[in-house]
Amino acid sequence: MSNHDVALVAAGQSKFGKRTEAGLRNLVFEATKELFLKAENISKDDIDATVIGVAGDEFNGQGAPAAVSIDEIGLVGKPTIRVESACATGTAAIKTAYGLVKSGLHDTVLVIGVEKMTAVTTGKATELMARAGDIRWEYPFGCTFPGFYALLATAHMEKYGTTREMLSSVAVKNHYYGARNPKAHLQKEVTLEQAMNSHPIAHPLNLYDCSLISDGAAAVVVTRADLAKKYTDTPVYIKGIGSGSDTMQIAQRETLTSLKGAKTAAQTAYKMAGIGPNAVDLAEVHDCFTIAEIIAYEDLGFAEPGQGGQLALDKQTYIGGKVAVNVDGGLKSKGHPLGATGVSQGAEIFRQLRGEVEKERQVPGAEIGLSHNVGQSGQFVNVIIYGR
Amino acid sequence: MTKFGYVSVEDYVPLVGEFAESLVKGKIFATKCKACGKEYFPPREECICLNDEMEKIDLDTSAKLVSYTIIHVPPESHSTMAPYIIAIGEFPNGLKTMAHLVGVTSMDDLKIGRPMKLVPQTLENERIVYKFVPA
Repeated sequence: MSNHDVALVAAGQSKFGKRTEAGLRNLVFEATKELFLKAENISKDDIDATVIGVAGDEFNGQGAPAAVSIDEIGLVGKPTIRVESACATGTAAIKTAYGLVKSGLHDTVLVIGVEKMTAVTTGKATELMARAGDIRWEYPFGCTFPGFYALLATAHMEKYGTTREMLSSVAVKNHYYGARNPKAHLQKEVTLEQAMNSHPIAHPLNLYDCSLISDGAAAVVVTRADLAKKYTDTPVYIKGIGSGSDTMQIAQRETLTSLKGAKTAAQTAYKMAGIGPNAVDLAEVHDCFTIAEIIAYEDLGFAEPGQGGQLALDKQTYIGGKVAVNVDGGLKSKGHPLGATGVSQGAEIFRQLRGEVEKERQVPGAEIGLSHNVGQSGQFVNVIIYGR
Repeated sequence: MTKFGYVSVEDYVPLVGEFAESLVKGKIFATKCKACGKEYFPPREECICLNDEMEKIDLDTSAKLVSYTIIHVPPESHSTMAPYIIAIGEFPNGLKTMAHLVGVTSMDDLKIGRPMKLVPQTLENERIVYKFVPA
């Protein structure tokens, strides 16, 4: 089989945000309903199995979230599996579906990523995410999730001279595009001044350096390439997948200015796809914090090590620049419902490569899209390359 | 029995118990694999070479600052403590760990590479922790 024998043929996404009126199951419903409404020639009957990505049960209290999800959308009786890789859960779910399809075990798999996070207070959510650090040697010191990335930011600023303004430039861009995405959590632009002067969360990161705590779901259908044209005239193929990992304790990393797992994932995915970073038209990168997007530019080869901040400052990651990055608002403005994020990246690339997104944020003629999804502070990384 | 950390969620395991009792006596130990010689700090009961015969060794507690953050918005469990500095320090043997850095008074004291020392600190409620202090 060639490398390009698995395809996406449909995608859907719920509105991201603080969805007080919607539970986990309702978010699943919303994304799935949109998927089938927008799909050209595929129905529920074509689905052989589901893969459900949910990062944490504690946020909404529902155990066995895959079971409640397939019950909600009427796919009971067909095989299902729940996947978890912290914030990289969504791409782990797509990767699992890829394996199921490529192995021949199933022909057509519905992948849903979902997280219902706002049922708990922000303090409680911060607490739960802090427990994704080592509970024996990191959690006892009260290191928050922003804290882990702040440790990377301090090191990056020290080594490369990355500035406050460079960090905030990422926030300004992502809010600019998020303001143009009707599915985004926070649809408003921010000025560089506002972004630079917001209140501190974990020095050197402030409020506008941090992604949002959101509710949301996203869904895609993954199938065999030789069946894809039956379902749509314009499938989007999975051309490459790479993954990597890193030490549990952040202190024990070889470097704090790069994510080793992301570099490995990118190299593997590029090699499988037979392309390099210059071929990427748009990238969905894991900007859980502004520093994470800057490091992503470097790990993915869009910029040399240490030059990621300058790339942001020079507006080279807007549409029309070197590579369009997070033109749906990214985790920063679109929102970051953990399990949904990686699937939403895939859904966004699916729509971008088919020329279907809002006109003012459509990347003209995009043929190659890259999804970069990071779990915790680099313990899990998946990179998926999609092409028409 | 004295517990380790400002807070903890894990069931209390023997190694961490011994480590906390040792801190009470002012001693900070690392562990070393008897098979491959790999050293660990914080200490581990098992080595990545899959051997579980470890010996305790003294840690040279002098360290240099590798990176830091100041937590302004803490998790629920640390809600009364913020702001606090979390630092990563590197010891002479190359091992690194995370701990609070206490006793600095200005940002000028937070230069990367600055010398520090890891010391035990007794807390309320029969808890103990290690922290970095300026050296």
